[in-house]
Amino acid sequence: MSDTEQEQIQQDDHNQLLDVDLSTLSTPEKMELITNIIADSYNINIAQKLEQFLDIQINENIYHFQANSTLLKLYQFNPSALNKDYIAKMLAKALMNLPSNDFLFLSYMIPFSMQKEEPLLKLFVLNNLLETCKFKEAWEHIQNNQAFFSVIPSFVDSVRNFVSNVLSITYQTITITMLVELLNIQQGGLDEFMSTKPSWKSNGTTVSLQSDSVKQKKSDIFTFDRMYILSFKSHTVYSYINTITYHYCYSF
Amino acid sequence: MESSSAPVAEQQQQQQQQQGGRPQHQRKNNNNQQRQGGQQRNNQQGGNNNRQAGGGKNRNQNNHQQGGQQQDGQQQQQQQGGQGQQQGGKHRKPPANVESFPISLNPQQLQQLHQYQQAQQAQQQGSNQFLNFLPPATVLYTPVVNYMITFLNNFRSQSHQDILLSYDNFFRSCEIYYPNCALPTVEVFLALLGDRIDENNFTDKFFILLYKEIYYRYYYARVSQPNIHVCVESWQNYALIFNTLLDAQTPTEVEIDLPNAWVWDIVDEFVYQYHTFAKAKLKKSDVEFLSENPDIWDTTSVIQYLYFLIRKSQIFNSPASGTESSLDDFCSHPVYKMLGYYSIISLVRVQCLLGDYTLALKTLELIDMGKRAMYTFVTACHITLYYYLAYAYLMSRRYNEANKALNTILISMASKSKAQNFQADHNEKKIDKMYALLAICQALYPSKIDENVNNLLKEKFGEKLLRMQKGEIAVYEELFTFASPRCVGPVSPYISGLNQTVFDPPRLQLSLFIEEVKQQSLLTTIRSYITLYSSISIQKLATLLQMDPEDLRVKLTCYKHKLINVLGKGDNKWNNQMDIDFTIDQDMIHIDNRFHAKETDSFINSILKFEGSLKTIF
Repeated sequence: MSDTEQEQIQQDDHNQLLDVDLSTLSTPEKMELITNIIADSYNINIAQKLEQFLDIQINENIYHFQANSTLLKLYQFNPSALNKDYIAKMLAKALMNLPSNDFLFLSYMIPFSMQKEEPLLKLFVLNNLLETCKFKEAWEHIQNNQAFFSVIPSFVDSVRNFVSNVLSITYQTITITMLVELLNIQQGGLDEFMSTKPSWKSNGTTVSLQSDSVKQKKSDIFTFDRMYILSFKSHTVYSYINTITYHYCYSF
Repeated sequence: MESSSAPVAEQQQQQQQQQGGRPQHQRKNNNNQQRQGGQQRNNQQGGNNNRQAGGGKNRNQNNHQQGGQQQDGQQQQQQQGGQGQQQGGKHRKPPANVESFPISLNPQQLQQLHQYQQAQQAQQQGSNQFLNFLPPATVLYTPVVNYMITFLNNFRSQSHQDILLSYDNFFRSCEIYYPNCALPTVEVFLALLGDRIDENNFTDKFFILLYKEIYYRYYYARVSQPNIHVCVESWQNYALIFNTLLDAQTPTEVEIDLPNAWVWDIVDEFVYQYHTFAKAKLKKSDVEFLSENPDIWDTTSVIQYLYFLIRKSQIFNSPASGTESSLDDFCSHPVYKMLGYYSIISLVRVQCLLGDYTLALKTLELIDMGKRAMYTFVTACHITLYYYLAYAYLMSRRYNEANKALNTILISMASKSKAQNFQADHNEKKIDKMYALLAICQALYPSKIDENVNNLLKEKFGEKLLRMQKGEIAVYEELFTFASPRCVGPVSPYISGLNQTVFDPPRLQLSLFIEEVKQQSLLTTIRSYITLYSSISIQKLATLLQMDPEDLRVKLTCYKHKLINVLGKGDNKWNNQMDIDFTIDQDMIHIDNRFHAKETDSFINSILKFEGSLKTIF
């Protein structure tokens, strides 16, 4: 079979893929379909499908970075097809996937001037706040743009999850007042949140965030026991060295 | 040839203009006078009876087999003589005492040349009409013709070594004889060679295409931004070359063999010319011209060609056993195999230029990065691959990986003997850029690098590195602008309708990078402080750093976040001796300094070992 025929068949297969209605499929099937579609990443005809899939990602709370970056690439190659709202949506999804660098990767392909305008600006501001771990300001910012962020299901939960992960790697123990503030959570809601974090333990006014094994590893530093061993050993070494010099002198 | 060669071309042009641009025909007369003198001086030129062009040709036929070596000797002498005469102006003028005969130009070329000369004589500073114009060659030199014939014969013989030798020789001779003008067009050679070249023969036909490729490459190397017609012609020639290769049904049809270096040069130059075109600011007349030919140097077309070449080469789905060589097994054909391989590397380059670093790194995963991998065959390729790899890592915040990649390549470049071919210059420039990248990575994420590399780094950018570590954003900006490739947009602004200033890819990459550096600012300072303690209260550290304790808390959290980010998701392994880590226990910072811990461990271990060996002695 010649190459052109093969290409023709591949092309036909591809067109068939585009006819499939996404909403009729189960999640894994959708994922597979999209993976097949984005193999042809420079075909503008797939853009519509990818936009549709992005909406599905938001509603069903699933995530497919490659599909979104392909869509952005298509916008980059075909500026007339560009749709700011979808860029905003994929950026929001990327924020929900922190601490991965997805947001950064997408921003390399978004025109500079567009980043300084709404609706994208508020996402870039939030990204900056989260990246620099200014969590208090980040929560204020989300609060101020309630209308935008509350439309996206489980956006707030994802951000809170990111914050809690960063806190877990930083703090051994933290006071409850500080934790509540950084997570933007009501005092009562904390217990519920902590039930999703098996390694977090409450000790009255503080919460220990790291499991004991981690703590053990971290505290494995220079101790007096080892100091003792060292000094003891070096003492014996000295005596050995003395013996050696003794033998050495007398051998002549 | 490479983006870094552009300034050289500009410089040469400026010098050329400063020289007052002695008109071409006048220079030729000079040559004739000097030639006579030269022949009296050294009589190895073959005597005066070869004045006529025809005579020269016959002689070439007789001894073109040995021609290469003889000419080498002559050249060296000429170079020495030339340097003595000109003092410093290296290779500015073609050597004088060489037999030559004029090329008859077509009317259009003549007109252009005439205008060019007038403009140069008038020394019009303001008019840059001819800034990107390379005058056509007016004289054909006998040695060049000799090289050409040897080149063609070797090309027919399909022997790697011979082709490579005459390929290099031809380029070198061109640089000597045509320093300020374009090479003679292929038509000139065709007329000269006459029936010695068979246009129905595949090999000869392909040689013509490849010569044209060399012609345009030479043009691009001397002129930073050739005019639109040259770009279009060059594109059409590339399309012909690639289509010829892609249309072949079986590998046996393609009776050619190219040395790896040449294959790399073709693919590399293809992307370089794309890059040049994408960077260009087009004039209105160019835009109108292009709207009729929309796929000239179009990003999608460029990527498509690279994809097709990769697919045709079957480099990824070659038969696993490798024993059965079926008829349409293109991977067994060295030209296709290397073409496919180099296309992958060039594709990575295009992806980096477009700012798609995830895809670039994904594509690189396809390549075997072993020590004896195929990219090491050609030094320029080796450098390009690692340069873009490191750049993609840097932009992905994986500074540690970037450090490692740069360390690897710079070690192997330091040990390599400096080959003096025509590419050596911009390899050097690329290496300088890589040192600048390394300086940035070291400032953001210090890690252990090779001793020699470190010394050279200090020598080149030591002072800048210190200033970056102190957090001077301007230095980051300066080095990044110097070291990074100039990114481009996939669609020229004339089609997208967006203003160039609105959509400015290089500025976008720079500002995002600087943003990242700003986010990381103070982290290096904090790092240097906490290295000194095993535990310290936030309050005390804040006083030392003269900042608000709450801000410090935020910074410390940020430090941890970025550290995890640099090391990669879920990968908390200590892969670097200089790492330090800490945890906060309410208001206390506990620092775990792996470096010290390792030191004590190694002391204890060696003491125990010493004791053991003493026991065996007694």
